Amino acid sequence: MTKRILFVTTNGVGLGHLTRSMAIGKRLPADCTPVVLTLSQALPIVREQGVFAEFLHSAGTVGADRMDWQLLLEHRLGELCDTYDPAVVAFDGTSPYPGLVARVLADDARAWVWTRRGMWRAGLGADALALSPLFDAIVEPGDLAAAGDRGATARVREGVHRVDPVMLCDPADALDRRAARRELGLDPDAVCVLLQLGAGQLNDVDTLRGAAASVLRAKPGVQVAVAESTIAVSRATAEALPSDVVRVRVYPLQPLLAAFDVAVTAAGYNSVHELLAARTPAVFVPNRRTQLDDQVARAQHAVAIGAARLWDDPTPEGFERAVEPLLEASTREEMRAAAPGVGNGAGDAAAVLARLAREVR
Amino acid sequence: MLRRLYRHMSRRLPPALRVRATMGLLHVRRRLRARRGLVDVPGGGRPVMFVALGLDPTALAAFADDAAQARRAGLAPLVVTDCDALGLLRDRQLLFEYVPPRGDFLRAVGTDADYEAFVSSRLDRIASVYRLEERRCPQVAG
Repeated sequence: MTKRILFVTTNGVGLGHLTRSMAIGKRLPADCTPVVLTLSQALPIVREQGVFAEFLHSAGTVGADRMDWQLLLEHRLGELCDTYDPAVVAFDGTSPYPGLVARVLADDARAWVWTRRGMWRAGLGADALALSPLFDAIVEPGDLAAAGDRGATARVREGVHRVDPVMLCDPADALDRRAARRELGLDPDAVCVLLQLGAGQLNDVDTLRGAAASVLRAKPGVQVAVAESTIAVSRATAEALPSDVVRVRVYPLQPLLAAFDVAVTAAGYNSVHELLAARTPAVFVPNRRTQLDDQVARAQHAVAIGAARLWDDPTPEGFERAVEPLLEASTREEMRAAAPGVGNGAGDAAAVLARLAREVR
Repeated sequence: MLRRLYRHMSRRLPPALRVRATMGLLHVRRRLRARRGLVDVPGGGRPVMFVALGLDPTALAAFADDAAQARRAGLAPLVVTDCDALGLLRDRQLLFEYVPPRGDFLRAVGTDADYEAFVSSRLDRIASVYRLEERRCPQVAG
């Protein structure tokens, strides 16, 4: 008998939570079927990935009082549990919503799992962490920067299933450099630099993107590719970029990362691990305004092992200093060699959920 | 007032007690909301459900225009759609609910599942949540 697993994802910046849930959902064994409840505008992406999706407005868009939205979430979760009767509900986010917690407290007919990555900013998240005992299991997607984790989850091990970093694609899915460039319409011989400065609306990164593009365009033999979010496209950005810059609007981009000699990106969980796994030299611009994610520590770790550089002075001059060495082939080769091997923990996370599902049903 | 009280208290409570306080607040809000629906459709008019099932994005856009126009007649529209082009509704500042389309539902739940019963139940629940007493369907639905 098929067992369903309901994934509930928060609507964070970009697609991180949703991507991790799909990565795990797509690796469930044949007797388990994923159902994703997303709060994201990226609903079509979930469907394109062949994953069954339900949708609920996030609190900000429904126009409701936030506490009323919690009631709406609680109600919708109850309805989905009635309809699909999932053996496991897996929440991916850093802070379980009160509406979700209310369902957890009221419903012991299924296992409740909290999927939470580490690397929380120091001194934050104690309230969320206090909710841990409510869950039947906690799955922690590993972080290559875990040695520098100073956050609240760093020393919590009881009831936690830690797996390798969770990514949507495996190395076998990746195209080689030439094929990836052909797929994206990039110059096969240029030094190609990907600018992927945030996927969400939390920060306005247009200025950074423009500054970086202006520096790179002045370099002979360099081609600039700008990754646009598949869930939010700024018309202003489209107008501001020069005509010789290639736009990339692909999801998932991970299998095509070999196309790029250098990537310039925020230091979110997915971006960092996908780039390290692809051994793509990177310039990281950590987003310092996230709710909990310690992007600074993650970026600093990648820099410390020699696989990346930090852009911490948000000026064109600062960017030039950060990126200039990476335009040399020998430097890039050294950085590729420094990148650690990254296993994909999505399959192990799926196995944890499937085992719980079998215990429940 | 309850929320202000909670915020005042939560600064003085350890995390576990703060969770309990939040749950208590949610319970009180649930009781208060029981008679008038969990969520108000924004706009202040008479809330009406506009059911747009089986429409492609072009037809949904036209239907959304009609629903947006209904605001001028004093209605507060909520659109229910099975089309994932939700940006069409968001662009018109319409509140909406999504129902998975038939093909997706049957693939996930099983080909012997009753999609009509699923949709009927979903519409009833949406009507209950938002206290919607009237439903309108598009004239163009095939």
